[in-house]
Amino acid sequence: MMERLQKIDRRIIFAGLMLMIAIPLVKPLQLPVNISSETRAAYDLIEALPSGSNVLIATSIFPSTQAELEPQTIAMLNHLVKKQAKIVMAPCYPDTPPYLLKYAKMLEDAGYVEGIDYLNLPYLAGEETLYAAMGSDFKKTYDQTPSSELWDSISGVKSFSLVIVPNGGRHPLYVMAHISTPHAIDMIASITAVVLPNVQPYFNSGQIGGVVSGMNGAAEYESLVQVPGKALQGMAAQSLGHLWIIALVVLGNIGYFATRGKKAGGV
Amino acid sequence: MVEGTVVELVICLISIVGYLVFYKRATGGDVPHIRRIAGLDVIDEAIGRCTEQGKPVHYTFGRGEFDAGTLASFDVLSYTARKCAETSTDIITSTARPDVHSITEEIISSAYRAAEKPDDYKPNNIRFFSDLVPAYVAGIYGIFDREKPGANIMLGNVYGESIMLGEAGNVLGAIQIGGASQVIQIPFLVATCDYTLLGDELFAAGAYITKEPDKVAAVVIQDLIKWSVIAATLVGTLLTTVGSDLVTRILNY
Amino acid sequence: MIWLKNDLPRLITLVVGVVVLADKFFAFDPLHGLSTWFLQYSVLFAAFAMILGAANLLRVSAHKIRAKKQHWQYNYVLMIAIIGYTLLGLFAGTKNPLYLSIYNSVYVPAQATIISFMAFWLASACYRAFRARNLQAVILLVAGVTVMLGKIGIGSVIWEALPGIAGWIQNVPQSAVMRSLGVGIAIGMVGVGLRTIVGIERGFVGGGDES
Repeated sequence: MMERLQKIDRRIIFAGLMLMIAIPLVKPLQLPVNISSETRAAYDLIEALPSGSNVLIATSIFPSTQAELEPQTIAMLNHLVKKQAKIVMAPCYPDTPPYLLKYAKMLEDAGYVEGIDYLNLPYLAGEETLYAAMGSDFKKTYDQTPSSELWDSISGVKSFSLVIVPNGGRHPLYVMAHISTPHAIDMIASITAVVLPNVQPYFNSGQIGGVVSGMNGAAEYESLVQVPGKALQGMAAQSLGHLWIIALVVLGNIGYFATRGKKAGGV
Repeated sequence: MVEGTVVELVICLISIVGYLVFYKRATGGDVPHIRRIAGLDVIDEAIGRCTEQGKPVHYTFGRGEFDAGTLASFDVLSYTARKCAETSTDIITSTARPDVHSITEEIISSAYRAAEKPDDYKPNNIRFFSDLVPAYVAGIYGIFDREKPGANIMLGNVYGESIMLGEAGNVLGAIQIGGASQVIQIPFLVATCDYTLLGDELFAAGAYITKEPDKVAAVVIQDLIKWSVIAATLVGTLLTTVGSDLVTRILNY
Repeated sequence: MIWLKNDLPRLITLVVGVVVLADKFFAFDPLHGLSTWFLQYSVLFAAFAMILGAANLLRVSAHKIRAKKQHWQYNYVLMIAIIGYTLLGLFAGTKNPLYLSIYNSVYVPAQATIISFMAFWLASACYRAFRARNLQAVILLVAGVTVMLGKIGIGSVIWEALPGIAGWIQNVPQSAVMRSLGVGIAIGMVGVGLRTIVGIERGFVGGGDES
């Protein structure tokens, strides 16, 4: 029995995890949300923006990162709309443009007008090279963008008061190196939870102004702006999933210590 | 000069001059010793195991963009491909970026020519899956399922697929070697791979495997810069503790 | 024509690398203009590389169909999907309802399904890796469980100090290790970058140490 605890069949592990995640879909659970200092800092940066400030959202959201990044983006967009910020969205990954169409619709429903209050820039390839080009000459990089009141009012990357980078990889660090640090622009890294260790040192040193990390970061932001969304709903599923993994770890260790004791006694 | 870049320029110039000094010494016969890197030593053993079992070796750079990690991995691929050619073991390479794919074709065909077995080169063993997660991961799962490689080498700009491919390789029982230029993927590789190249061991791989004087010289200067960073960190921490920001001011100059 | 394959790429790398690097250090308008021009053209080349990838995929698929390799029929599906969806986007536009419908109904669920495997693989990896075999493993186990609990709502219900402890683990020991690994990797990247610019690193021209 104790030996078996150490070798639980993968199918049982997978089935249990699926069940734990599915339970809150049937029976929603309300759990407390603790606001982390990183999310609070991101919230404070947007809260401190003067009305009408230009904000650049350089996003690389795609289906694999949608579950974590989309609730964050929507929560921050809701906050930016409250602050009447002018929003320029730049897709930096080939799969991102359809998402920006969705967010554009959301902004229009909130009364925003394209070309005056918000802009969707075209997708350009290159990843780090693109950010370097943006930092070097933003207008020239996007010189195919049609003229509009908002676009004409932007002279370069320094016209932005804040850069938000929703991404599940190293892009926040590229933006930090090529855009926010050289041009002294505040920056929020909106990231998947797995990337937090990469970004944390830069937040601690002040190079990145705020970090919204993973679904729990999105849930924290939703509770700060008081616009509940998918993240708050998803936290229960995430919590039960974590508990299942911890239970498995505990069972595995019980089996390990029980059999180790037996083997030692048998010698 | 751009403000705040003087120290960076000085470090850059010292690196280049230092590199030339160590290169001259290395070509003169004074080749420094690089400590053992277990993950690279085991490549021969992994290929040997595959040869005995009649299974192919699987190699991938990860689906991240073409960066220094991918560049560093090219030397390891070249070595691995040549060894596979010499032992008549198949090597299947999965690529995610078109530019990396073209270079991979060239590296592997050159390796087969160098091993004097150009007819054994199989271009269909170099498979492009794109950098999209479902295509890339599903494609490699298909290789694991159909061809059952005996070794899985993941070196380069590995993203979140590290855990997916690592676990799948574990289920297969393949010997796994991992190394990523993305720091956050290293824990996943450590958890799933038999051998992991930690941090900048990946960037020393080319020098370790080829033992070429120019590459070894570059590793030496990298280590010296690291020692300088350690010294600056220790001195800076002590000075900051006693209220002095001298090191910070120097670095910001 | 060996110079075209080996020497010309290295010369281009040297010129572009030196100009873009120098632009970071020297505030000189003509240099900045040239560097910006190089960066913008590299954005264009990155876009062309995507076309190269698609062309390669079509070439390999066509070969598999001709040679009747295993599951060759699926390569027809692949080719029709690539060519059809590209033509739809080109002629109907990327805001077309059918284009977006295919994206939202086929592509997004497919990606979401594959990425969801990660949760299951992670669960089984944690189950295997978190065994208290020695002191280091115990520290790993305690830290891992603490951070997992501290980051979810239930953590503060179990013990109100848990989120704070989880935050400390992330801010202090984890950050310290990530910084040291990050410094090592950054120095390694700078080394590889400088070697590539001056032409010592030859891997990207193909042939690795064979060239």
